Amino acid sequence: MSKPGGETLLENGERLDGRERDELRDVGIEAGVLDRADGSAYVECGGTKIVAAVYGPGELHPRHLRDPERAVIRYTYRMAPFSVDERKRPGPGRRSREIGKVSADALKPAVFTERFPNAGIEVYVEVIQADAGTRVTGLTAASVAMADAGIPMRDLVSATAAGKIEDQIVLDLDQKEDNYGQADVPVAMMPSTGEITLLQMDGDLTGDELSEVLELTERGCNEIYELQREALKGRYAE
Amino acid sequence: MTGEIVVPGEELGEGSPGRNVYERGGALFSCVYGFLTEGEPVSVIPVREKYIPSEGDQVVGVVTGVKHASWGVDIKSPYPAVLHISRVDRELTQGALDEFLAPGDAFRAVVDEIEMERDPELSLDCGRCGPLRSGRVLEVEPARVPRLIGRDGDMVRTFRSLTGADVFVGNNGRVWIEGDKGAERRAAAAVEFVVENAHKEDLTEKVKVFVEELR
Repeated sequence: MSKPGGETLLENGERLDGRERDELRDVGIEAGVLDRADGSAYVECGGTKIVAAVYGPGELHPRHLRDPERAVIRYTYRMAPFSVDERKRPGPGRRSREIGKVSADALKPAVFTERFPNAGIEVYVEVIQADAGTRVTGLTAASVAMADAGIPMRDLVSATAAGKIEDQIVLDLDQKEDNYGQADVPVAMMPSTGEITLLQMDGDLTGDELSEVLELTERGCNEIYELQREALKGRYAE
Repeated sequence: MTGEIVVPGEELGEGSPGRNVYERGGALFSCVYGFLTEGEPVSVIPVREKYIPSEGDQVVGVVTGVKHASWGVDIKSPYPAVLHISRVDRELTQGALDEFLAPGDAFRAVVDEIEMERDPELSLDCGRCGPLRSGRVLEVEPARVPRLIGRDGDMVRTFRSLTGADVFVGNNGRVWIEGDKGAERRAAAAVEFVVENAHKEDLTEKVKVFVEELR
């Protein structure tokens, strides 16, 4: 893919926004931002702004979706029409459905779903502004919202991405790096066990490069994990 | 519930696992966002939870629908309950059950039977079970119910003796209050006070002071 005006994403080896290779953008997390939902969170990561709301466990409809062994997590990922440069056409599309599905699967291993057979847990993730990394930032928000809703979990889920720009592996791509870079790998994990619950790849990487990506995302997830914990704990600090 | 605030996945050291705590590789971890209790077993009281019925619980149900021989009941849970005519020890006419309990009516009941693949069954087989025709029903956070009931029900007795109102705390997070106007108002305020200050120590004493100031 060609870059506008032949610009480069690394100038003298430095990222355009001045970040180090292994540096996250500024991340802000707030828990319990909505009164009507059982649990909620607001997360900013650079220019990406996301609100997550959680309801449940509750009665699941339609009935045929119920699982007699465990609760079913339903994850709705939605981008606001004004979240991107060109107005996004409202309504679910192929991409939103895919992200909802893989994100539900990324939360599932963390939740004690077996405690609520036949029930449903509804997660709504609204992208208010998109600046790359919306699926991982959405997961970071959703997992704080789930904890805030009092849902029993093995661990929080923390998520970030890494990728390749100008043949260099870097953490947490911004919009430009994502658009004109060579690869983007979103990763979600449960930091206290190190288990990865989401791993996708857009672009090409060698085995060694992928290992480097995983090393960077693990560090990134651990940093985000601390911020998630602080956001939750801060609400009750007296 | 005076302990430090913990989050899911937080390591809690060693000991015997109590409520909302799980074991992994010999160490204990919290399952929920809540307050760590002191002493053994290691337990966490969640900031919020959904009511999951268990047999013998006393609840306040609200009728959602009336069928030929049963009522559909909301017990503020992921699992809606059923009250069947056979578990109501009164003279009732099948097909006219709404004369006894109509949609929207609140009543006190016991969780009688829980079976896989079926909605929990309620019964009116307890001393004071039955329709709640007067008074009012407050909705509270189910995670605060143990605090509202107190050790062996001492908090409920405190509510009654301090406010002069009759108070029943359902395990499902609904509180029924009945008395004269002033008593009901005091009792409702006292219940809310306990819900909001549930994490503080010497709560019974604090409630006494709070209610005294209301008079």
